[in-house]
Amino acid sequence: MIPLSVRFALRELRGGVRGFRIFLACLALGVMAIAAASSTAEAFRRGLAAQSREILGGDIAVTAQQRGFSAAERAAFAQAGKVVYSAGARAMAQAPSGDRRLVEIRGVGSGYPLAGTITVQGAASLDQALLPAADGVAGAAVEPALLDRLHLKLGDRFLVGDTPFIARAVLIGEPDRIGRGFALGPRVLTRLEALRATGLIAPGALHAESARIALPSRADPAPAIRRLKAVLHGDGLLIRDRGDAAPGARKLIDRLEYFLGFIGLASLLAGGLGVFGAVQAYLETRKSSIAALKALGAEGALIRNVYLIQIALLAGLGVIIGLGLGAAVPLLLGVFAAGSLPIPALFAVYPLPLAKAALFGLLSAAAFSLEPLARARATPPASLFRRDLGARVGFSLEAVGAILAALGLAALTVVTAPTPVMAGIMIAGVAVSLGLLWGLGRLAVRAAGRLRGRLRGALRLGLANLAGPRSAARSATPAIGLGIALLTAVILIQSSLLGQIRAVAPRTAPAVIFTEIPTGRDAAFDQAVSAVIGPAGPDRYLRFPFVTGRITGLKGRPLDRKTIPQDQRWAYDNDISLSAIGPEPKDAGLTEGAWWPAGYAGPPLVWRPGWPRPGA
Amino acid sequence: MTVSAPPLQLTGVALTLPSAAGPVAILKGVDLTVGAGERVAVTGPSGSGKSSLLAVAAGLEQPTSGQVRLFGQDLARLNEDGRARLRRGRVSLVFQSFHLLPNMTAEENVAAPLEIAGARGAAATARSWLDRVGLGARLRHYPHQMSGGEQQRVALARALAARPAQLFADEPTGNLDAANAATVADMMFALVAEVGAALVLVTHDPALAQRADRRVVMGDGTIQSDDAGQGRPAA
Ligand SMILES: Nc1ncnc2c1ncn2[C@@H]1O[C@H](COP(=O)(O)OP(=O)(O)OP(=O)(O)O)[C@@H](O)[C@H]1O
Ligand SMILES: [Mg+2]
Repeated sequence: MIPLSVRFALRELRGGVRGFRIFLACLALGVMAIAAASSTAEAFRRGLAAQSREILGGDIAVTAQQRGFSAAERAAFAQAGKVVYSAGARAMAQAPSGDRRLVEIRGVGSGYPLAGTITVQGAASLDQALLPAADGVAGAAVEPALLDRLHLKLGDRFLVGDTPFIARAVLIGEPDRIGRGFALGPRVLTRLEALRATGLIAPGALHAESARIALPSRADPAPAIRRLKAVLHGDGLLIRDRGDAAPGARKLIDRLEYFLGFIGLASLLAGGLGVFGAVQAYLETRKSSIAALKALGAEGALIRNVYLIQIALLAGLGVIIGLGLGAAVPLLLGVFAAGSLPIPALFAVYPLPLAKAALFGLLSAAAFSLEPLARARATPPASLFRRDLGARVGFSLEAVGAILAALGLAALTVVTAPTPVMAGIMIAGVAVSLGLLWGLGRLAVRAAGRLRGRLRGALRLGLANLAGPRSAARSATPAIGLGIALLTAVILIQSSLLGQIRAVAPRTAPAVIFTEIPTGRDAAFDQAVSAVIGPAGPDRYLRFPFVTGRITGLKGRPLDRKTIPQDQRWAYDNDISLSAIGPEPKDAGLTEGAWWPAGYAGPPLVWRPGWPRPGA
Repeated sequence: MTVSAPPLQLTGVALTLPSAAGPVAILKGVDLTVGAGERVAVTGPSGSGKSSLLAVAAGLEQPTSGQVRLFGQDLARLNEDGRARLRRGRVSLVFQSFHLLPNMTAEENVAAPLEIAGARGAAATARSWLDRVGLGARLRHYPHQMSGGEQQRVALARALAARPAQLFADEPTGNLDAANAATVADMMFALVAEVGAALVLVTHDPALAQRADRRVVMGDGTIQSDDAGQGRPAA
């Protein structure tokens, strides 16, 4: 036999869900946002994990900056498993025509790639592509951008530094590309020996060497790494395993998930107030039915259960709608955008993210609808005779449930956040603003009550309504306020993102930039430009020298990477752009120090070995 | 509870309600005892406190002072749920505006109090009672599909299906035309007699009041006159 409360609940639902459209929309939207964000993030995570070996190029990767591996290090690698060496550097490529382009050249040892496949066009295989020509010139696979840029076709030769190469194949994809990050120029792939022959892999030159190790039978890399670390104490060695194949991409996914999830959660909270209002309005319409049931002998608990069951069923419906939509978003993304995604993704329906979204939805439904249910339970039966009777509820079982649900929401937010601090700040912000808005709503009710006596006409009626026992101010104020706060937060985040972009690319950013103007042809270039745009001042046309480099010494002493804190090393591991433009521009924005004087004749501020010595 | 206790006994009942313009004294010391099966008509001008008296007597409202005993039980000693349990199967109400449950069919409306009381065969009992009020063909109809007279007959069936000992009726014919009012009134008196319930009937209709065993006139929150013992003997 179906329990009485369920029977009555199902009968009550015959009245239709019209009053619950807002309820369903609020819940479904929030759940959808969370489900879509987590499912997409999960798809990316699975994609990365499934290809982590390919992305890393093996089970373990060891990288050394600015130096080669020692014999001892090589021996240790060989003991761990199958090893493939590679090295990379940035260099200038030059076509026979004299066209030049900065390239990222990479030399790989035999056996590359250890994991995944490399895609080349124009040659049967990478080995074919990298085979030296009859006269000993090394083969190379190059990215299409280089062919375009240097007006080359396959089979043509070009120089890297002073070393000739033959472009034998077009490089379409390397399995370990996203693991290596952003490239400044087109990639050139060749044999490690050929790269060594260019002299780019030499002390003092910008380069990195790495060893990729495939463990026997794809064992867990952790013990092997421990063994390696015990043997290697050389400086500047970075050891990674499959788990952190692409740390940048991983971090990006986490951030993205949390930001989108935050929007979902905030919309659940703002929507939760909508849920609260919808439940309250619905129960208000059921008031005479509730009083009639009580007159027929129904206890409060039965009333509460009848409407609790209805709301639970409807909340379930809202959550299911949200989950369906949320699960569909990544699937659609997979269908329409899979080819153009920068990160591998495995789009599917993942139960865990959906369960998380469902839990968020159900908890917020509980947190926001239990209090109105308590009021329904306490509906005085005397309202059959007197309509305007409101229920007075103190501390109730339902209130305890609502508080527990709210705490559950907070806990879930903390558990699923990338950092608890971030979640804590967010929860505190929401709680404080809700409290403030609630207080403001009460204040508005009071103020309206005081003011109405002094006014007349429509204004007086309006204020009387605002001050009355059914005033919308108490629940509408937090709902509207939180909604606006949410919009503001999204706009602020967006505008600070735009602000960052603007800071990088200021308003006065040039329309056209030419780089790599050959030295000695600068005057001819100036002439060519003024022939097109006419004579132009420095506000319209500027040409200046430009150099990239890394910090190798500080305060007259060579740099010792070991002495630099880990979190500051990025400043020494990345290229720094240097340029010179004569007198100080109006908007240079110096924060400290002074511009060098006009006609400066001291030691050069930028100097490298091979250039004329200062003063020479 | 003693078997001999009268179904309803009000002693010095006062009801004061707060309002925007200060507290309003609605009932000002009402004494009223209704015997088993006794039919009492309550009349009086509008606003004299007749509905309030019913609410207090049925335990829907708590008096500010005085005592209400239903079947010998002091209502002040029970909480709201306790009073609801006390009403189950023993006390019924009929209202001027019917107060049927809009999302339940006629049959379900009549069965509802039986289901709440945990009675068996609620649906069958409901069907037989709807038959008796001439609505055997309207079992699956919802209140909004029925006329006012029909709705009030459903309400009557619902009130009496559990064979209560006490029925309260607040102007049960107030919203009906003359013909329907007569039908409903006839049915009510016949069925109340059959069930053996005591009846407290609030009405503005002197003819209807005449059909009761006893007439009580309310005025300004007190009982102005009570012809107890002068009317027809209790059934
Ligand atoms: N919530 C309330 N607050 C203040 N006064 C109320 C409230 N409810 C009812 N009253 C007042 O109580 C008095 C008695 O009301 P009640 O409904 O019992 O009268 P009645 O005799 O049933 O009238 P009628 O014949 O019009 O139905 C009325 O004056 C009414 O205005
Ligand atoms: Mg009345």
